[in-house]
Amino acid sequence: MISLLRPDMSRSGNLEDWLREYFSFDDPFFPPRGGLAGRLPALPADFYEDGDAFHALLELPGVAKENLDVTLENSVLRVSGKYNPRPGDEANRVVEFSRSLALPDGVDGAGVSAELRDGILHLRLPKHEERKPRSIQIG
Amino acid sequence: MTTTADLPSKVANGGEQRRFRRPVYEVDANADGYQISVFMPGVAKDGVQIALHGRNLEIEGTRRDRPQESWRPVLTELNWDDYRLRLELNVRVNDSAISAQVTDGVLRLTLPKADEAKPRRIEVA
Repeated sequence: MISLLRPDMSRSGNLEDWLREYFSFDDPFFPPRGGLAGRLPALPADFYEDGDAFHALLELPGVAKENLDVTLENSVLRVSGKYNPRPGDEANRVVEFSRSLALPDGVDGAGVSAELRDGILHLRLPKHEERKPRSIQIG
Repeated sequence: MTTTADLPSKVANGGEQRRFRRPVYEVDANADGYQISVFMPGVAKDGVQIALHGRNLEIEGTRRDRPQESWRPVLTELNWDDYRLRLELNVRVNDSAISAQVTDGVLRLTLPKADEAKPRRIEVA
């Protein structure tokens, strides 16, 4: 059990530091898995594949849709935006973030779709038709 | 203001093992009360449970979605456990006036101070 108010909590303003650390990772390549003593990048992401598409999932708690940008350029997917931890208080509080992911070959860039719900961004990156697995009939 | 690292714990829940992590949260205090912001990405309004047992505030967040089982992981950095946060209210608040709101995966709890705990100006006679 943690007490709501603790002696060190009379100081405030550390949320921004935490957010900067959380949101600050930017690397156009996948980070080495388990490298850097297991340290994970600051803006974490998951990446999955199924038969039809790749799926990127990112945690963006508190980020509104209008403050989020997703771009795809030269097979690099970039998610960036701004986060204001205290809506209504604009004074120097906004934290900028971005995360880039290098995409595998075969993504149909024109078909990418994005959904932001409850602080989770789900990007669906469909595969080109010719890259989808298919079964070949034996004649 | 407090931030916390992941703290996975296994809890038996009707025979089923459910995993929880402690969410990142912060507490702001002002003259009228306290505002707690709890970061629980993936949790919608109906996935939040808040209970007050005496002075112990317990917050649970259940995720709406998880990655589909048919998806093959390529890169996994996220922790998909549900959330649980227990706080001892070592301050006097007006229990019946606690309110909560969930927006974009952030729970904001407002705990007004009990009237007798509010600051008062004392006149010097």
